[in-house]
Amino acid sequence: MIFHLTLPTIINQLVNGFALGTLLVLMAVGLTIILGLMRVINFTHGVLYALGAYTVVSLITYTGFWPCLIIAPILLGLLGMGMESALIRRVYVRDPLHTLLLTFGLALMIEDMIRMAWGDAAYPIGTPAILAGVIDLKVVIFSKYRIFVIVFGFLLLTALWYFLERTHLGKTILAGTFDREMVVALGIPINLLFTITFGLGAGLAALAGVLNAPIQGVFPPMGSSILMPCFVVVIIGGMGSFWGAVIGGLVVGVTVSFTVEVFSAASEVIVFVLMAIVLLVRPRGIAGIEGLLE
Amino acid sequence: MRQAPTPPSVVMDYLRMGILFAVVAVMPFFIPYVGGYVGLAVEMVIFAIFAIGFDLLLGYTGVLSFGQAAYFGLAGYTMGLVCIHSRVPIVVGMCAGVALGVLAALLIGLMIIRKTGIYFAMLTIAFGQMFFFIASRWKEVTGGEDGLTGIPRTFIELGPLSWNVNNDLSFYYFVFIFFVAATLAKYWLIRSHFGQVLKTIRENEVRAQMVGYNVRRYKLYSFIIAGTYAAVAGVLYAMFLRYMYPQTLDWIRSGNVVIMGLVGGLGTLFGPIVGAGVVTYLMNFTSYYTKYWQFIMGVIFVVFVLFFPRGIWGFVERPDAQTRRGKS
Repeated sequence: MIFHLTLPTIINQLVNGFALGTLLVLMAVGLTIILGLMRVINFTHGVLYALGAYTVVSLITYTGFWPCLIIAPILLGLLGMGMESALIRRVYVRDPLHTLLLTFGLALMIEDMIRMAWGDAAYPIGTPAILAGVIDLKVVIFSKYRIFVIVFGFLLLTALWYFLERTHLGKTILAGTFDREMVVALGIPINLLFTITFGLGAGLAALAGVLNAPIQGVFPPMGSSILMPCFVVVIIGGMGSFWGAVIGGLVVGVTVSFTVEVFSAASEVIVFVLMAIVLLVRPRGIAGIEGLLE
Repeated sequence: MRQAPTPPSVVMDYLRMGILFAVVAVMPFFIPYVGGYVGLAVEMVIFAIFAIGFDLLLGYTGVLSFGQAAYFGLAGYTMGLVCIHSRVPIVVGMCAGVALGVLAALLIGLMIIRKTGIYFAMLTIAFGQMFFFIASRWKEVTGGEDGLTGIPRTFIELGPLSWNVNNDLSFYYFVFIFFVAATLAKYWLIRSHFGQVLKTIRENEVRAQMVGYNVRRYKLYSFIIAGTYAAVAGVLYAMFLRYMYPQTLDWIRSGNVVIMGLVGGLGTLFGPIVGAGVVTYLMNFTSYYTKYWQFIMGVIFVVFVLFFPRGIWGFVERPDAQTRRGKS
């Protein structure tokens, strides 16, 4: 193991880490709100992300890359809403563990359905022409596309934050994560709220999938491979916390990129080590809501 | 004082277990007629041991761990590594494997047992995946993605006794002994005071706490016992295959044992055994015809959660009973 962390490498890995972190945040925010509001661990989050990326595979020759950023979230948001209202809703009245088992089963099914539809092979996706290449500052070189992912992701997160904090519907969703019974008692149709939240999470996951397609390519198990880091982000950030997910995602993203640089074999394990450390120091995560799921 | 007469239900239970053991004992001889082979029977019984222990945790204590494969795999890998790198008898390797599996369950349990419900489940998945990635990336020790080859299965030597378990049929009866012990131990556990406390926790955790039981400690014990069962099954599995691969620690494998419990019927003595048999058999059968076995597994999962949440055995025992409602 040789450490060769020069300043350019550090800056580069920071950019890579933030790009990966942004994708993780987009996924984890949906997961954590679904968890907080509905008490559901959504295993289908990974396959929704994969399906978002496969939308690019199928549409890129007809529409190009950019429209996928709108089409995929809408399509998969609708799919998520359909899944929630047709299947997952049926088991809410039962033990919360049943919803977990149900989404796990669905995730297994959908991952194999992806294989049936698109085959086992990976699809490389070209970076859109306008963002191809690098920004060369002589000392450091940035990939344009990664910079775009970071900027776009954070604009989107700001919009999402605005939606959650400043609109009536968003406030209601946040209120539900704090005290679901009270929201129900106020006469708000909780089922509708659940469906919308699930759709929102699915749409965000799909968007993350689209954004990652030019970076990593598109392959069937991509969903299950990102799901675990996302779980860790939610745990580190704290269950049900928006800002926790944001901070957790960036921390995990940067940690992973630096580990890839210095000791790549440990790049997956480091995520869990980080989780264990955070849990030991702060059992509720960075910004976990007190009393939620305890 | 006169001893209380044995209640008839106990007699019935032993009778049922006797029938079960008899059927399992002759399984290698009839399984070829239903499209199987002795090796498949070995796998069915190993997974039955795994599922029996898992059910004590989920079915009786109401705690869902989605990372049981970690202890299964860790024990298997340890057993393999000990036996490959030293000349100790296989029994020593087995003990080392089980010990490390149990130790891991203890340490992780201590760290996460205060969390409940799906949060606990999520933590178990995450810690389970940690072991998966260690197994698949630490090439120098575990063989990485290629797996760990050359795990011995030759002679079991205990004092003057020596048992050749090299062929699958004799190994089957070696596993069978563990199966009988696992089943009896579970039966005694669930009928003991300890088992009653676990059931109380499942039904109402707050009440159990109020009555004065240290709920966390009981849950931890239950977690460790389930880990022990998983470790024993893992060691036997490593011996059976003579090989360990990272996917034995994966969360898909953990999900596999959940599905076995669910299909068979959680919270029953015989359910997980039936479930392990049925699911292992089905997996084997479907993987002959299609590479999309994961799809089939998903369908089984969804159908059972939606329509038969009490599983096969739960349905056999009380067809008219209602599904348990959630607490929160």
